[in-house]
Amino acid sequence: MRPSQWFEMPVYTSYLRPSLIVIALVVSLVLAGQAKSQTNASQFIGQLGQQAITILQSTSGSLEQREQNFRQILAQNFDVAFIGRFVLGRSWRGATPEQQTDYLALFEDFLVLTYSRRLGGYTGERLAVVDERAAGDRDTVVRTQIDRPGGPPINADWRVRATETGFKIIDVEVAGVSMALTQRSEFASVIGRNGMNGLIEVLRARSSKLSATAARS
Amino acid sequence: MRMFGRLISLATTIVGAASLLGAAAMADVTPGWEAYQRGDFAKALELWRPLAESGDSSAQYNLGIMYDQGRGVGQDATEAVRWWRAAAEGGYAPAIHNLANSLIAGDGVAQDYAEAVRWLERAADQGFARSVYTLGKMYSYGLGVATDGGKAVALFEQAASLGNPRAQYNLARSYRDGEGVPKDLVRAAQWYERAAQQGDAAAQAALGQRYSLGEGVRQDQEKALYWTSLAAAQGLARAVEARKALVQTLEARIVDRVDRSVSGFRPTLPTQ
Repeated sequence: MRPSQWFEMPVYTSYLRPSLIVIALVVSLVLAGQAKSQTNASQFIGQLGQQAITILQSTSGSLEQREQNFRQILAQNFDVAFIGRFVLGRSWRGATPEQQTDYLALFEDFLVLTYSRRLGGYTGERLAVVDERAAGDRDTVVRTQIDRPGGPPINADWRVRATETGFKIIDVEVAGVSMALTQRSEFASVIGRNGMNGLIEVLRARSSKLSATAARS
Repeated sequence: MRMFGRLISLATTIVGAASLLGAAAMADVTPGWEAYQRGDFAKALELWRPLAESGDSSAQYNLGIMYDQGRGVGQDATEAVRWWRAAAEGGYAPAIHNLANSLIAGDGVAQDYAEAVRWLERAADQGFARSVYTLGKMYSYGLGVATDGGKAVALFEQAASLGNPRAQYNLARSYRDGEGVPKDLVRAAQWYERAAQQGDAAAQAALGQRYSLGEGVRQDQEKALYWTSLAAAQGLARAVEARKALVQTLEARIVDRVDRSVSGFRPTLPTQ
């Protein structure tokens, strides 16, 4: 996508007005030439937010297609395998290799669905980076505020790790609550009741649900 | 002969009336669908709700989706289940499927594997591929039914033949590993291919690996790179790694050629 095309998009230009931070991000994006060459965690999150919003608010293609594109971006930028293992805790080592494969594949769906429903999909949404701080030796936490018309703003803190394949998100705190820790305790209680296969079935059930239809019954 | 002619004209009238009725029902759900596609969920809800309340199954089903996902309304899994149950009792397969999955996950309703299985059987009787596949998983894991590997594989076969990519992928894996069926690498590769053509990322990665190893197919590193790249483009981490390794071993012009054909890939439409 060439920068000039970005500016032609009416939905995008409407976001240029309110936020200096966004303008700074756009300028850095244009200078960088492409989305892959971020130099710090804040830029990474800021660009990701803009990319996501641009996709969701595009008027071309079906809603399913736009959401599929959005989920693809999430999947590419979260360290799904790392989060998946973390969330499982000790049960990871107790699982068979087949269970681990099934679980990770389904966990990816679960993760992107959870995040996309929690953070995305609202018309007129806007993400602004507030600041960043170091966390441990390897991570940076980027604080953002997501504004959306018709709802209170969401404070989301993104824990970002520099990996061999670029920056990856490893956790998000929404309103101060870690999604990874929340999922960890939810999963532990499902495993306690119904075992690893029970957890896999819960994840499969959630990702197997069909979406809205245009067809008459 | 005249009797026959009258029968034909009667039949024509009935078919004509039925298609008119069909068109009317179609027109009812469509405005809401258009609002939904625009992302105007409040409008979609407003249009679907009266239809749902008057008993239209697809409107009831769509309303359930809106509550399940919290679109245009606060998320409410219990309301989702209520609407899906209404449509399911009318025999509407997508609603039966979602209701069964809420029962499995315990979302908006107490978890109940046995009831989920009863609903899945009802949708499976209609040949609803996704439910046939889920039912196979219930037998495979012994949830709500006694574990039965043979029955599970038979259901995967049925769902795979009906075109369900997840079932095709699982069946391929069963044939690859000889689990529940005799080991058959050629069949494994064929089922991986059918799911891969439908855009299933895990199947694309597995098919790439089949070509790379020459298992069940003639070894072909260019095809290996093609399928692995398609999976990598969908963000599948293990495919991203595998692609890097393959690129190292192939000439630049081949990598370029593959990259071009990858961008031209269009998944075949799933049957369901």
